[in-house]
Amino acid sequence: MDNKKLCIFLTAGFPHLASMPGMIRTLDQEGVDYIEIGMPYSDPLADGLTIQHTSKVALENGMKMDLLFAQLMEIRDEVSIPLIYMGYLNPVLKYGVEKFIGKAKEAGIRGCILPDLPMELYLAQYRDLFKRHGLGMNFLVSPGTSEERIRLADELSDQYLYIISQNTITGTPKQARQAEGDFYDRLHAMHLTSEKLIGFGIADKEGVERAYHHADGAIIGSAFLKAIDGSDDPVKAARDFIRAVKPS
Amino acid sequence: MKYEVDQHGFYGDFGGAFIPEILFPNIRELRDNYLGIMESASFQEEFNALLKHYAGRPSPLYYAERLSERYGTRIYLKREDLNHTGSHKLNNVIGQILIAQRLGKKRIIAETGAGQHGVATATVCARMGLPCIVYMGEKDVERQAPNVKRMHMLGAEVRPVLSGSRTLKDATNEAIRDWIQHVDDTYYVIGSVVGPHPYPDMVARLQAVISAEMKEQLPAATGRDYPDSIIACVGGGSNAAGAYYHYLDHPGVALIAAEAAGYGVHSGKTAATSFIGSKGVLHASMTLLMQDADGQVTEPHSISAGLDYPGIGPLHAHLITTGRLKSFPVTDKEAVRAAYELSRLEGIIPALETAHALAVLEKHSFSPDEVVVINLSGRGDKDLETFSQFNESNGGHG
Repeated sequence: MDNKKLCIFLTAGFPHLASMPGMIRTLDQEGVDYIEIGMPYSDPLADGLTIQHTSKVALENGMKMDLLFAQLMEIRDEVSIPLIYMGYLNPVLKYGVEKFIGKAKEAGIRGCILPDLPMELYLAQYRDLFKRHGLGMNFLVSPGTSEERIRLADELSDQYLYIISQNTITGTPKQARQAEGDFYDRLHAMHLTSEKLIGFGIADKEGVERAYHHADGAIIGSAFLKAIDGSDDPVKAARDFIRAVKPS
Repeated sequence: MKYEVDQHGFYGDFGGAFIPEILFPNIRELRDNYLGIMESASFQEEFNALLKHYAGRPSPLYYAERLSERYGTRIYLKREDLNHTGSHKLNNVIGQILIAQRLGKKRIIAETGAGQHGVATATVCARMGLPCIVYMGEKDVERQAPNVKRMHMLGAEVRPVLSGSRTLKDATNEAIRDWIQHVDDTYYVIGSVVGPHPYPDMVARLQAVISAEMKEQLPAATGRDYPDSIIACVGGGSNAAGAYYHYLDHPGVALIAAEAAGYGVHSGKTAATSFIGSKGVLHASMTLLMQDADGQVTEPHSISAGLDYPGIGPLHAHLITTGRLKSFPVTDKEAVRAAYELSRLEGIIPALETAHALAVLEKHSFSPDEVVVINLSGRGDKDLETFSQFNESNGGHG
């Protein structure tokens, strides 16, 4: 399993405003391969109840874009794990795309996932800017995505292609294994160049192993956040969770 | 047309389709087919027949004599409150359900604020034998209880939404989440000129029947086919879009909007988006929205559930920023006062949303020979509880 990647999504500012740096150190120590840093948003329309909840708590805690970057600056020299910014488009637009790119690079972020930024718009308006500053971008594909668009997403994604295994919002348990398998087979046959990570609905070791079998890795968000929610020691809860889900 | 949507779904700087990739196939299917379907003979025939025999159109253009006297001008009310189900919302729903059927969709979802769009959707779904799920903020379920009962009676499922401010914005988020999870069989009937392209254009075209009828009706009353001014309330802006539509490029027609100012534009309890909002993405559309310095959407307030929304349709954002549309902020109090005035002068109880449009008469003066059309978008039966509570706590209006 050495060549397979485990990616963890966390919400910045959750469970406590200052939780993120310690959490990143822990995930790095536990051998996680990527961390998606979720900027909380008031209206997360592609997210299920868990990330709606963590986003709300993080915003109430006072998480803001500048603070997110400042917290990452604290640890940028200590950790080497690739960090991917994930969030909705509006806070990035409000912050200013160019300023966002500069700050993100400075804070050690390698790439971004902005689920409500369509590929066409990225190509037409932002790709040159991101390329010029060396900040990556990554796109999601789902079973309904056409071959033509999967190929475009493959071409435009810099770190990995985010595979949504079923048409759903985040945090929904998996159904329809067969259709899922067909989708992975279809992707496999396309010989894509990007790393393929499977996300949405992966909650345990079995799910991670299945993702490792079908693709290059697994992304866990909601299940991880649920595990640290309400814990007296979120860092320990995070460590325990990773040890429980990571195939040896 | 100068104010038409462009091929990428934008009105100037506003519009587009900022959707998660999962929704792309559905949005593309709709985008590639809506105009063809709407222009087809079979659609036109069925749509027009339902508007006439089921909705009861054309809606009257009524000369409000006593209201005109009160304000020293000539005021005509476009009586969308007499449309079946009690508001303009039905026009759009009939059209979208016919489109959904032609796309082979079997399950219908909708969001609603005041409940008028929810009732209209439940109504047409009952008529067509389609299952209907309506998302409604918990706060609106409480304050628009009569409409919840109507939806239940019509056989729809009303799902209360507990997230955020528990109003229209959150109901819309939840409807979008449902759609993401049911892309294969579900059609999302959006109730206003908001959301990703092609919804704003499609809904505006379906509501355009309002101004098309005005063009037919005005000559008999005034000797010409256009008014000097058209006033409409704007939350998302569908009744306004319909009332303005055929006059957007007519320089002789002043377009006027009323936005819900709540306690006042700068009170922190407002929904007057174009006054305190800025450019950003809300519900998959680039538009004007209420947001904080960090790009988080702020919670709106209006006494009117249908206007209690932190955004505005991209067409209206474009019309306002280019100066084509003049908007007035109207407070809760001013709206309620205007509703009592219309009730006492003309014997018509308007919806709280519509009352905002009527309140513009106090804010802008019109000359005696001007022809002013106010789009009377809905009736106020659903709001009686709110009216009487507000009236009691504010010392009465009559």
